[in-house]
Amino acid sequence: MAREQFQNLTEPMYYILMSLLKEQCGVDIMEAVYKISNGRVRVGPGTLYALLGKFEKEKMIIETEVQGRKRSYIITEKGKEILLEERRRLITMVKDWDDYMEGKL
Amino acid sequence: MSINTKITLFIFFPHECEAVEEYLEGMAARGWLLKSISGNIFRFKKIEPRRLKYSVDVLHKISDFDHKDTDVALEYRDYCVAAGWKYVCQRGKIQVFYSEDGADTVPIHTEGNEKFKSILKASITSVIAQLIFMFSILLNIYIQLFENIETALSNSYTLVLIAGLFIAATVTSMELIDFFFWMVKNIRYLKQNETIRYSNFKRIRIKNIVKGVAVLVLILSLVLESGRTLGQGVSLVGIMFIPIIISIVLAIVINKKRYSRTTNIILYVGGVIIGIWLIGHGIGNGVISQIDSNDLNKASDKVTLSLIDFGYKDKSPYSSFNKSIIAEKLEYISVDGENDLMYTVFKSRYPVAIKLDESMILERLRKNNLGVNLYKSKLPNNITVYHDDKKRNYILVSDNKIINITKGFNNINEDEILASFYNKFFI
Repeated sequence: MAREQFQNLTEPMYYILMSLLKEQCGVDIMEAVYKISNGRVRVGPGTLYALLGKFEKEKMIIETEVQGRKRSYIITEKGKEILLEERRRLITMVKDWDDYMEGKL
Repeated sequence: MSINTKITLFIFFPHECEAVEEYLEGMAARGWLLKSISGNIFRFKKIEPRRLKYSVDVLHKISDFDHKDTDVALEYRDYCVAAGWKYVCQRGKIQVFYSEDGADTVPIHTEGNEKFKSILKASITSVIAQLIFMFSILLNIYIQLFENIETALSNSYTLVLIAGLFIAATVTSMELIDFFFWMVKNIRYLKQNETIRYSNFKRIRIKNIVKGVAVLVLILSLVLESGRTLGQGVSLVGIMFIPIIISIVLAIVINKKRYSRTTNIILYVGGVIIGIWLIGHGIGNGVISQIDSNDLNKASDKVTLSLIDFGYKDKSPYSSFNKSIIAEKLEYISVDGENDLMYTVFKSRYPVAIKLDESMILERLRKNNLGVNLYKSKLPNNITVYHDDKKRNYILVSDNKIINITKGFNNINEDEILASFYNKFFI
């Protein structure tokens, strides 16, 4: 189910998971995504909250610490696998472009 | 209420959140900042007119039965505040935020499909509640009308109640149809990767004006038509406010005491049962019986034919009379030992009411296996007469009147009895 749902990660999903390669507090993820994407991608708090819930349900991230209402998360092995798979897919797409434009295909 | 406070009524559902945003932004531009929403009552505070960006957000993770400010809601708000939004208030699953227009605040939802799914999930409870409400109203209309059509059509209170129920059912079904069209249309857009569309303020305002007019008509009808005096009319309108008062009291208690969700559900269910009981049997019956008592006084004057006319004593007879703009009904019951007489005289200038009543009376006889026979009476041709197999029940039908007689005596010839009724009520 998780595989199907997250077969192709959307940009916010990709960057949220990437930011969680390091332990992050939930509310800090928005800022982290903004920085990692050089200000190109911004994730709204509602979208982030919903996606964190989904990732946690699918065991792609786990909660590491709770301080008051602040929760910290980190990516799991399963999450990493899905993230890396997406990365490979993106690289393949770029490579296919390059090969085609250089007349190798 | 101070001049710095403004209270408005704005009815909306979760899928109409963008229309509410438009409404609130318009109010801020006119110098009114939202302070709170209770049910459909919006409370504003006077400010310098300014351009604000509102976000009326739906958090489906919390339940409509939760108290305000649950841990989940507070955690969610932290995310929104961190993104630059200012929290205003909560109404059930709805969370309202605003930011200064032009500020670089990231929208709460940057993925349209996530927002759509959240709204869809949040709408399930209200859609189920509306469906139950609509079917219970339709069932109520059916019972009111077809349990005893003569009573329903000749009683102003029942007629106004049916009209009110009909308006409520129509409005609810319009809302449901609107929601399903919105849902189906947007599921198609979602599949085609198109932008999800929400209702705009203009559309909701028109819907709310229609609802407001309907409620106003209902209240006015109740005051003017149902009560024989203005006081009784106002009492009837008061009955309609019972559910509102109960829900306000419950909301205050639940938010103050912060009970668990299960306790809140039990409290709400209890509140609904008490509300129905109060309306149906308690205060409702009190006021209606007061109205009826006025009619009972008039009833004895209307009874021009009784057991005495057939040679019996009229011991403690019961009679009632009701009249509405559609029909009037006189009912008489009297017993003298082994002998009795019951009849109802139903009169209406609307042939459809007469036809409907005729078919229902005959159907009732058939259902009870009493039989229905056409009787060739000596009455004029415009009077149709039916009787049952045992000749205990007689039904006299003209264009504008039906007399349903049940006689429990045998000393008088049936044609003489029919003639007596004809002379008293048809001439």
